[in-house]
Amino acid sequence: MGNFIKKDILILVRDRKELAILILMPFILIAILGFALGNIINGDSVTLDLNFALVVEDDEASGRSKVLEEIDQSQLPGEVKAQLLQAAAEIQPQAMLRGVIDSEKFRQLGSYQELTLEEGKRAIEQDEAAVLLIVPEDYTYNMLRKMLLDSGDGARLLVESSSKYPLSSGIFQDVMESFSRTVSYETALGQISASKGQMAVEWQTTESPVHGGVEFIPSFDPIRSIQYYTFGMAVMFIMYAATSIASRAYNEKENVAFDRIVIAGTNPLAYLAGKAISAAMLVFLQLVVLFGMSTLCFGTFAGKSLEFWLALLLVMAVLAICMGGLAALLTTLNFRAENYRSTQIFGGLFVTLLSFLGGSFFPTSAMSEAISYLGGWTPNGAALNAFVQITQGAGMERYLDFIVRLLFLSGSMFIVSFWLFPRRRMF
Amino acid sequence: MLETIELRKVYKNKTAVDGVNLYLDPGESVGLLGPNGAGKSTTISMISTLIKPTSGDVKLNGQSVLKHPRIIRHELGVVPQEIALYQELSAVENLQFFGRIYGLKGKELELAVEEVLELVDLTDRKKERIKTYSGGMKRRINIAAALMHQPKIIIMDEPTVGIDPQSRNYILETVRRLNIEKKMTVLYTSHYMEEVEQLCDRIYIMDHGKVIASGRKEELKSILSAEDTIVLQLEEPCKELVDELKENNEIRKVDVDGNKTIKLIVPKTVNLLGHLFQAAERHGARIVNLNVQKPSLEDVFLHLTGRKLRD
Repeated sequence: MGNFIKKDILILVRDRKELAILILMPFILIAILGFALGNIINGDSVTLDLNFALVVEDDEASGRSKVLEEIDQSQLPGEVKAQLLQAAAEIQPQAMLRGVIDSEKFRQLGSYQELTLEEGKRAIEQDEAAVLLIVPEDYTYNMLRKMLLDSGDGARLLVESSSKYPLSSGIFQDVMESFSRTVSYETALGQISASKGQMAVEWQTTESPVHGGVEFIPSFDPIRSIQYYTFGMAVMFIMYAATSIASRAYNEKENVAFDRIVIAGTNPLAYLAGKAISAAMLVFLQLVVLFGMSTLCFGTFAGKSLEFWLALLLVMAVLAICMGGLAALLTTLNFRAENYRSTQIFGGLFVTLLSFLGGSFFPTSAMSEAISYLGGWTPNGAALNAFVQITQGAGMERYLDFIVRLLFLSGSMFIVSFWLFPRRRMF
Repeated sequence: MLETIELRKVYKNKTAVDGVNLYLDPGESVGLLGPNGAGKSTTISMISTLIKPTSGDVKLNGQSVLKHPRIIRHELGVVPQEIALYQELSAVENLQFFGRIYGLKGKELELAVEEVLELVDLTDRKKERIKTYSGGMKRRINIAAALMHQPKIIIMDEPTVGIDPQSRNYILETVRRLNIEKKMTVLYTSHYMEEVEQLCDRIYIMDHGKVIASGRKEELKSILSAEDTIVLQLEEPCKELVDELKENNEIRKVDVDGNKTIKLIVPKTVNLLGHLFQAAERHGARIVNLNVQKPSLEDVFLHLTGRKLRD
């Protein structure tokens, strides 16, 4: 068996064109999709249908009056005090936030519903909302206090994301962080400088941000687009590796090297098993190279824990076995039909279709429930889901289901291919 | 040593091989001649256990290969008509792969590789990939791969197709050495009559799935011992002359080769020369050369099948 595997891998590794398809092309696509998506979001051209819930616990009036009182009781000179009191009365932190989420640009990304905290939590638990944005108590107070008196840690927004919409929550995080920076360095500065130019100069030099930032509640980490597309492209292009092994198997039949192997007394099923193992090893290697290159070049998984890598390796191994089953199945179909049609159709049509269903191009959560469900049962879709869950820091109970699906698909493909592999010609 | 008994293979409505009986004695070199579609390759595939016969049997030393396919697999080396090699691998890597599938390993494998490379004279290019080889070199490695496990019988299916004369001569010399020096039994199929005449002790002629003649070269030629072969060369092609000769009942066969050369098979008892010159004059054809030859195997084949080997 080792003889067959060594030969198959040597042949494939020496074919530069094939290597370009299996390694270089997905890598380029990872870079393009991973980075281009961010640009699209900053532009005006796409609607992601991001559905999020807004919970406002902040009492703006009470926060403002507390700050006014603190300014009034401060030891500042009378003129400064008057200016600060005027600014505290004019700045509206909640309105600034709403200015972002009600903006036309943001509406292109999706919509929101204002809920109570309880309703918001339920919406996240039941995956009805992709993200829960909480404006906590004392948001106004903390922001104005930091802005005007440079006191305290500033205001923070809380964002909780659903594990079902990893990419959406990642995008939301990017937008909120951008808002946070804007509030810190531009909006506050602009608003105050309009009336109090001298203070603006002082604030410009401060290194401490006025806005305390966005705090993500660590139930699930949001996934970055580069991470998503590293997985998406990898699970797509490993199907080409399985196709390639099956095509080469049929080459062996055509140039009668397969006959030589059979004449030597090799059981045809051992030959088929060799193909499956070669494909599995090749796919595993391909995944290692793609994930490794993505991390080295883009820092995709930099700083991830050992637990993350071990879980990733487990899913990679199961996925590789599944691709071994796929290679065996395609080899069998080619041998039975005595042509390359199976691999041609699979490589030309089914890989794209499965990639679409499995969510390689964009998350299936953006599509209908039926497509999303179907995608979860494709080998690439199941693996992609498992990879995403692992990246979000979910426990094994969240992705075990996908591993079981992969094993089920592997078993089915192995059974069918070994059962149908033609043996009738031989003695 | 090896024999086929009433070997038959039927595909749906087509009979590819129809009751073929042949045998190979140890150390013999036997030729299998026949045009395309004669059933040679199907016969070889059945002997080498790749195709199950519809009926009949193949026996090796009296044992049925049909019942015990394993007994022949280590005794037999098959050189297919196709280049059954991996183009991306070097000669050594190919030979190692095919050696290993026969269970060779370590020093034994290494020695076998060196030995077959030496035999086909490609030791100095052993590390180069097959795709960089010429057609003739590929054919030589194709033979070497079938010899890795030192088989007692080697079947060669048109091993010189599409190569230059120099490589062809080298391959023929290699086959002769295998047969004479290594005492290997050879079953050699070819389109090239002269190769079979040169290499083989006995010959089977197949057509339409059947063996239509067999025997030693001289025995086969004696089929035409009562006939002469007359070769006429004309200055210009003359269709009218050919038509007249074809209508002559005393002439067994008329074969036109390249328009200007006409080959006639005629009984020795018939004096045709006077008639030939008269006919040529009648049709304004000028005979520039005339030869009366002894029959060749090609003539025998033409006589038996009514067509040329390469038709």
